[in-house]
Amino acid sequence: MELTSTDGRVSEERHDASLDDSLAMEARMNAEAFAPLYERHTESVYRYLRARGATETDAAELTAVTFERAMRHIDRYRPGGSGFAPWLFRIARNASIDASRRAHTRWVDLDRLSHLVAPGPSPEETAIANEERRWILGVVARLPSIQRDVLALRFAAGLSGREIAAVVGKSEAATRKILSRSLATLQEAAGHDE
Amino acid sequence: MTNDSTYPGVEAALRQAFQVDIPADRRTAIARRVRTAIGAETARRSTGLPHRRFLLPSRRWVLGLAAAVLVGGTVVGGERLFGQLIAGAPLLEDAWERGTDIGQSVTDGGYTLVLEKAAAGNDRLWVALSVDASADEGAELGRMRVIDANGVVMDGGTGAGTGDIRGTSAMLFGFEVPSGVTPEGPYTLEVTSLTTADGELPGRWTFSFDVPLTSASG
Repeated sequence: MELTSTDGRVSEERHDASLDDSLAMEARMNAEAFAPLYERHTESVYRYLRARGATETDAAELTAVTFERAMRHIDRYRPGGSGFAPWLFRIARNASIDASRRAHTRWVDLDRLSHLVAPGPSPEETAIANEERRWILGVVARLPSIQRDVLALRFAAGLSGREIAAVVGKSEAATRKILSRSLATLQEAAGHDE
Repeated sequence: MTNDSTYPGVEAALRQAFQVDIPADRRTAIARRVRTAIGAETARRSTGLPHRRFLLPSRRWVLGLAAAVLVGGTVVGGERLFGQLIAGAPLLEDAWERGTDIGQSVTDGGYTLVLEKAAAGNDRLWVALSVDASADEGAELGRMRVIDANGVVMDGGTGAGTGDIRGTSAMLFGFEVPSGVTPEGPYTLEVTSLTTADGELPGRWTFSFDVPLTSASG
């Protein structure tokens, strides 16, 4: 079996929790069944880690570590709970937190992130997109850590409010408030800059 | 979430800002690591052996803690563990291949640390260390740092480790060279603690070595 993951569209799709549960259950019996879980979530885990400020190299390492740990501890996953995605992203979040503490990783390195910007169809459009991206990442970087995390889980990982709540250990209502407050802050900042 | 459409412009900008793809080489490396983990888990289940507990040392990253590939009934030494460690990991294999044989061993508190190899590059200084427990309990490396000839301290980086059921562990660790610094030997590697199942075990294992600066990546 060859492990691959498709392009970014995978993480843009709503993950199917019941399918995840079925695959996880199967992986508890047959480790090979873990491969589809990896393929379904690789991109979103990587993006989440990048959104948390990991460099390209570190995000790749942490993505690998996340899935290695998930594979080793798949027996601990309980289907029917908050879901596989929150379980997986808790592993990724913990790995990222551990790594940040030890490596003194800064949250967002704008210079590095600016290199991620894909070229647009024209130099002018590219310049505008780059500027917008740098601006919003700069505003996000100044938010409290819980707000940054919720935004990353929502817009980089594509998790639902219920799933984000399970990852960060807060109620769904509290998570919604955090998200709403974060977006309002960004909106207000955008208004001020116009 | 119900409030997703409250700020459509901001939300679209966020999605775009976070829209990054995994570079092809990274994707391949991750897939290989996960493939190895699946293989190790399959092997573990077939032998019925338990997972060996790996503890995270402080002050540095221990990434890529490949699931210990346990070979039932076989004594696995540090050298063989390194073979397992670098299998399928090009960066580690590269560091191992260009490493200079050191072969120094220091014992403290019943634990013998062996500095098998080292390699110095412009970005990282790699060390290949194994921990052999004469005590019953195995241990992984804890706090450690490298100091170069000019007093530059390197105490963070990225590494990968593995271990066997007998308590021997092996780690390849790449200390990050500070930006703008060209490392110069001789170097001093100081290990001041190990991590056991009971927690951090202080000690002192000091190695002095010199290796040429290579231009290879990493």
